[in-house]
Amino acid sequence: MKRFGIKRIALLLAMSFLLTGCGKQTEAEQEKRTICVVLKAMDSVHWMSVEDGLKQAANDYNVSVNILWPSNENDVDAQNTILADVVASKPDAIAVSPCDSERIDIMGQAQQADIPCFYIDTKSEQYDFPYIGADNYSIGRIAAMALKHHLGRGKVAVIMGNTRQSTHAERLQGFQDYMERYTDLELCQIEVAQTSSYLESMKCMETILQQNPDVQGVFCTSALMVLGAMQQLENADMDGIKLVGVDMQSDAMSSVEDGKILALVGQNGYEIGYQTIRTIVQSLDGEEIEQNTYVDTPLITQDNVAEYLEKYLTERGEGND
Amino acid sequence: MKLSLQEKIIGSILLVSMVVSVVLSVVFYNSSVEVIENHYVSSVTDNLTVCAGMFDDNMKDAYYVAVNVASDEAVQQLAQDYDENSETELLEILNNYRDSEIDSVYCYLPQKQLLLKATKSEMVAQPCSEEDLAWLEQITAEQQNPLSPQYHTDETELLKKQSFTYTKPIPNTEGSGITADIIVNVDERDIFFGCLQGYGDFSSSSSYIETPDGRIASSTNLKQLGQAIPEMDDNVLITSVTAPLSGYQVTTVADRSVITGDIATTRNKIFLLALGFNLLAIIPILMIVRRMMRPVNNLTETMIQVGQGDLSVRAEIYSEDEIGKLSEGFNNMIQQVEDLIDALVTEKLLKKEAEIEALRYQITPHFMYNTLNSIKYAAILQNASEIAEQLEAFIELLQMSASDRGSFITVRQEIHMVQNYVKLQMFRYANSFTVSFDVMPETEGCYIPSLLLQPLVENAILHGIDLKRSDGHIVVRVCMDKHELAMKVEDNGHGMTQEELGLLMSGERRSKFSGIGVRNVRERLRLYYGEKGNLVFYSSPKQGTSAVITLPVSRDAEEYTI
Repeated sequence: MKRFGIKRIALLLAMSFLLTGCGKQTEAEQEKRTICVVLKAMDSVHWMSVEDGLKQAANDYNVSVNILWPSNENDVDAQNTILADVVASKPDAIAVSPCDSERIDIMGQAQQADIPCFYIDTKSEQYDFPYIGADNYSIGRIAAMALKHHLGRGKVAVIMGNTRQSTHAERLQGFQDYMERYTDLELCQIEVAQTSSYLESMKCMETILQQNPDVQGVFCTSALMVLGAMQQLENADMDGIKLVGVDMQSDAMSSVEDGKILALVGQNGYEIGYQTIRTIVQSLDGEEIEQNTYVDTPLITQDNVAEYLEKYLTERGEGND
Repeated sequence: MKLSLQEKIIGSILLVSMVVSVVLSVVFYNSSVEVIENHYVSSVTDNLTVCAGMFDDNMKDAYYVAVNVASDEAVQQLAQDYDENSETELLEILNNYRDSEIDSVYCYLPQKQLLLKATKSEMVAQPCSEEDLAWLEQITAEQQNPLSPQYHTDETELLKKQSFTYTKPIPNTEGSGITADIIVNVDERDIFFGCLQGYGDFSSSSSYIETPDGRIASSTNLKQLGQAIPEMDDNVLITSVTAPLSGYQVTTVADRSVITGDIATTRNKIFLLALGFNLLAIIPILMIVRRMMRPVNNLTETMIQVGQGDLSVRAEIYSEDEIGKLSEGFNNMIQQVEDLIDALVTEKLLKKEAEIEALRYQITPHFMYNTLNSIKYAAILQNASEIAEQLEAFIELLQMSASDRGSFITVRQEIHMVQNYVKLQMFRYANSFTVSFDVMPETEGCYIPSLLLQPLVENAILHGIDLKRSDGHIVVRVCMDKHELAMKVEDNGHGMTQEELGLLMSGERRSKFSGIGVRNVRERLRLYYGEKGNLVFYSSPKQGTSAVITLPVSRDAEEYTI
């Protein structure tokens, strides 16, 4: 009896220790994928929204995202240096927003190293990488539609950003094509800003006013530029000239709310950033992805701006945590 | 070790409950430890992620400085056409790129073997020694991962300090080769106080930053810097987060015993509590077990008493359960034993009485026999031969009854004794009746209890025949078959009514004389032969009476002796 008892207890104890022993697990954390994203700059709300979207998606999809950018959109050399270093660091994927759509030879090295590459926000004809961003051609068309709807006929001008970036060129192309085919509007002047900056845009606006004082509408190919143009109009104490811009950012949207800007073709930076990571992760997981992943580009006018502003601010709120 | 059932039961209960307590506390402890460690790890991971993010931001800033200086056209131009005059201008530009997080920005001109240094404390153009050149060669070599800073000791400084360094070459604009290398250093102490201190700080834990090749890059202990990570034993919990850009790891090492110390104390408390409760539980367990054991103990005691010979005791029955049934069974068994013993004792006593009775019968005739012998000789001397003959028969009769050769005699002896008795009775009643014997010769050797026929013959003489008339006749017959011996005493007297016969058969006394003999005969038959011995009377008024004894044939005197 006594001996049996001891045996049984030993067995019981052994079993219990086995049971509890099973609980201890050494979980080796799976090596996270690293995605390097090289943007054009971090000097506007648009890029900050993109960064927010990238970080939020990185968090949601459990990947590491390294986001790098040159000091401004024109520093092509610095961007290429950064890209070279990014390629050398051998990440799992690279997403690039070329400062100069014709000078991204460095991406050839990435292709050779078998690193999947993607375009974010801006594409280049040089390499055939999948693109995630707004449909810039369509943005131009939507802008043209907005002006047609509001003006019917008359003179319009365009202030466009750096021609080295395909984004602006595509937007202009879309705008022009639509104008010619579907409207009676006359495109009287195209001003190209040296950089897509606020000050440059003001200068361009000034030039347009001098050369075409009877201009009725102006399409600016970025938010920063439409704000610059707006400022210039205010300085010149002019009103009645309708401005259409691109990008969703709060300062521009506030101006839409105030009626100072006719419309914005929304390009949600947060959405671009988020969709980029989502698409890259899908692609790395072996899923088929579209060559072009477009984000929504809604037309934001005084009628619906409140809704977009609220949504935009909420997303920012999420992105900030 | 001899233990009573009660002790075994209590022991088993306590053992099982102790085992359960121990297992419970161990399981509880282990799962708690797991939960706590997981919580700890996730909270530390969160902190470390912040640290790693800050570290990466710092490194990113340094990287941008390197990239920007290298792509600064002014710097490129000055480096290309360097002479003494451009020294101050170049140093000024370098110093402008330096900010609070950047410890120093160097521009190394390999052709001139000159190092332009813009540091926190000085701006100087320093010619390179051999060691400096070797070091510069090493750090400006192409990097595996240019996004990850190099970690090393700055050899060109007098005060040797650890730095995180990015280098960027400035290519020669007028042909191939490199005109200069830009070197951006971040001081380890800045990183330590900026990133580690205050974030990775848990009491009982230490944090450090680890290079991708496994050396300590930043830690409280300055002596460890640059050294390989020491081996850790199992008692520490290591949590690491890798900074994605730089590839450096931020690690916290915490002593498990501190993290889970409280829970270990709780486990011990539970264990002690369990022990205490178990000890306390002995009292109620003892009471319950005692209660349960009472019927068993009672049964045991009863058994012991019965074993000592006391058959009168009975186990008390407390309940209907197994023990109750056991007690009941035991009681029944003892009852049966007692009954059996009673029956045996009664039988023995009866036999003894019968024997004593027989002895009494023997003693009295013995004395009379001597006296009568003297009288017989006196009668012979006085020529009263008839009296002497009577006495002779009487003496023989007495001798036979006093014989001590056992209770069993042969039929021949019994018949002889009956003949002597009849002789005496005929003398007494002046030959007023006759007796005839019809004995089968084979029966003469059979053994029967002594004095079996005599009482019946006496009965027939005294009560059967009419002594006042002289035609009374008694016949004694003995016959047998294979198994049974039958003895019959028949008279031609006035017989008995049915009631009288009934009384006689039931053994009741009919008068003060008769009955004793008959009852004695019947009693002895039953004693010796049980159901096989029988005495039956047949009679009716005016038809005489016959008494028949049937008993088993026996040719061995000892066969039915008790």
